[in-house]
Amino acid sequence: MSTINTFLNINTASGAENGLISKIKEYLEEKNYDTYTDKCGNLIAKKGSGEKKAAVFTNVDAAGLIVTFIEDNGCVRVSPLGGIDFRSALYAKISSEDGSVSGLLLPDAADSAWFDRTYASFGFSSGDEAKSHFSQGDIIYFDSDAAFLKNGNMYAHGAGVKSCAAAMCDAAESVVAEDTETVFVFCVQKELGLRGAYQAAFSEEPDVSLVVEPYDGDREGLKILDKTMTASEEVTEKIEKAADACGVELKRTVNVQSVSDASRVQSAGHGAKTGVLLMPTKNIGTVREQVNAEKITNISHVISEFLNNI
Amino acid sequence: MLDLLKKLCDASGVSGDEKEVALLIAEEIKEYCDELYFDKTGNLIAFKKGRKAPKETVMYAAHLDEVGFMIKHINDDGTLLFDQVGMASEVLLSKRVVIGENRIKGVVCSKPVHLIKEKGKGISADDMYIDIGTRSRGESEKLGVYAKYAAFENDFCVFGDDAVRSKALDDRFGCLVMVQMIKSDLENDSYFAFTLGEELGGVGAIAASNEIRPGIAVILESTTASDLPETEEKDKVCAPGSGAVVPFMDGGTLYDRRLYKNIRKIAEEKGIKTQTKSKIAGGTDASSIQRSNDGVRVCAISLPCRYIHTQSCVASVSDMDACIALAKAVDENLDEIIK
Repeated sequence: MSTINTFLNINTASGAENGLISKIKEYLEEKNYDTYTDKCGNLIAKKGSGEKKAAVFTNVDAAGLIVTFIEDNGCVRVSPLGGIDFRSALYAKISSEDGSVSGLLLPDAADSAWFDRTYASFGFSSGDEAKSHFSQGDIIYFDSDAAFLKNGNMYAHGAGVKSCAAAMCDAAESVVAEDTETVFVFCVQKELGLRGAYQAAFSEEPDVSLVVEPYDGDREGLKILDKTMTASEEVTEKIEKAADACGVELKRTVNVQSVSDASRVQSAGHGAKTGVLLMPTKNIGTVREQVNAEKITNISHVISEFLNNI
Repeated sequence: MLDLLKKLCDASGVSGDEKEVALLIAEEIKEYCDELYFDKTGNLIAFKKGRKAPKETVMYAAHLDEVGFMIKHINDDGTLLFDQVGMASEVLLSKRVVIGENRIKGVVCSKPVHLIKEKGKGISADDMYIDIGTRSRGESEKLGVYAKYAAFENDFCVFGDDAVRSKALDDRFGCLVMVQMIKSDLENDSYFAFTLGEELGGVGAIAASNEIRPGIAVILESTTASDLPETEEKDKVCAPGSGAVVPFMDGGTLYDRRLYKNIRKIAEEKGIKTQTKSKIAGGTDASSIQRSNDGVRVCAISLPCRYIHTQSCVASVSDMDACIALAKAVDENLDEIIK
C-alpha cells in the first residue's frame, strides 16, 4: 500500500498525533533514518553528515475535539482543537482516541452556530456511562474516513497534512546528499498556534529549511509571503530549480491571511533561510480535504531534488 | 497565610510597574533562598535547594503583575484620562484607584447617569476619567500623576463562611504559594520565577524560561470561575469551593497530558480536592513558557476566582489550602508526576 494510502487512514488531532507519528517513525527507520521524539512530541528523523544541515518541516496534526464537560444524560460537551469549518464538522463521524467508541458531532438545535452549542453523541444513556469512557481533557478524533476517487483523487480528514507527510517520507527514500545532514521534522500542535516547529528548529539549528504545507490551490505552489513571514529568495530559487529538474511547474503565491510554521522555523535559534512548498488541497479546513496522488508524487520529487542539490 | 496574602494584594503592581511587589516578595524570601536575583527583564528569580536534584529542572512560575491603568492625559479640569490593561469597561465605573508611588487616590468616573441620553447602553472606557479631587490641570500636574500607573485601591476582607475578597488575587495568590514553598523544606531543587507582564502576553515568562531552561514548569495562577445562577453547568468553567483547578487546556495552552493526569492522580491519592475547567477560558504564562527554547512540559495549579480582573475578586480559603497542598504534593512526588 502506498505511503499516502496508509497515512490517510490514520486518525490525527492536535495533541494526539501519536498514531501518525508512530507510523512515520516506523517508515523512516526502515529507510535507515535515526529518529527521536523531542519534548514537544515532534518526530525528528536524520541521516547523513556534513558541514551543512538541511531540514524539511511539516505538521502532522489536524483539527480535533477535546472533552470539556459530560452531561448527566450522557452527552459529551466538546471544544474544538484547532480550526475546522463548523458546517463540515456537524454530523461528522468522530471516535475516541483509543478507537473503542464511535459517534457523531451533533447540534443542540437547528440554529447552533458554534461548538458551544454542539455535543458529541456516542449513544450513552447516562452521564455515568459516558464517564466510564471519557474524562474531561480527553481528545476526540474526527474520523479520517478516507475515500479514493477517480484520477488519483482521495479525501480524508487531515488529508492535506497527511499528504505532506507522505511526500516527505517518499522523498526521504531518495535523498543521497553528500556533505549534508538531512533532517525531516514532523511537528505537532500547529493547529493550536504553531507550537512544535519552533522548538524543533531551535534544537536542530538547520542552515536551510523547507516547510511543506497544504494550501487552498489547484497546483503545486511556492509561498513567497504570508501574514508572518517572507520566504528566502535564495531558497525559493533553489526550490524552483529543483522543480524544473523534475518537470514540475510551481505557482508562486502570496497570502497575507495565512500563517505558517515557516515563520517559527525562520526565527528559531540563530535563524535559517526558509522556503515554503505548497501541497494543493481542496476543501481545506473541512473534514473532507481532498488531495491528488500525482501532485503528492510531484512534491516528493521536488523535495528530494532540492535536498540532493543543497 | 491570609495576612501575607493581604500584604501582597495591597501592594500595587500593574503590568509594567511590578517593582513594589517584587521587592516585597524578595524581602519576604531572602533568608530562605540559595540564590535570589533579578534577571535582565526584571523577573525575580529564586533558587532553593531541596533534598535532591530532580531528573529534570523544574521551574514554578507566578506573575507579579495585576490589571490596572496607565494615566495618559490630564484634562484642563484636573481629571485624568487613562488606558487600561486587561479589563472590560463594565467593571471600571466608580472604582477607587491609587496612582503612582505616592498612591494618589482617585475614582473612576463618567458622565452622571441622569445625563446619559442613551440609557441601557454600556459606557466605553474612552468616555471615563479618573477624578483625583483637583480642579485644574496645574494642580494635577503638581501631584506627578501623568504617565503613572494606577491600581485598584484594595479592601481585603474575609467574609461569609470561607470567602476572601480582594483585588489582584490574580496572581498574588500564585506568588503566595511560591513564597510558602520557598519558606518550607523542599524535596527537589527548584527554581521560582516571579514574572513580569503576564497580563501583556507573558513577556517576562519567556525570558525567565529562556534563562532557567526548565524541563518542567508548574504555573501557579488564579482562574475565572463563572458559577453564577444563570450560567449553564457546562459554561461555569470552575467553581470556588470545589478545589484547586488543574486545567487540561485554556485559551493559550494545551497542557502536557501526562502531567495533567499524574497531578490529578496524586491529588486523589493525597485526598486533595481538585477540579478542572468545564470550558476553555483564560490563559497563563504557560503558553509563553511551553514555546521557549526546545520546549517545556507545562502544567498549572489555579485558584478558582469569581470576578477575576476586577477590584473585588472572590475566592475560597479552602481552595487556597488545596492549591498550596497540591503544589507541595507536586514537589514531594515529582518523580511520579513527570514520568
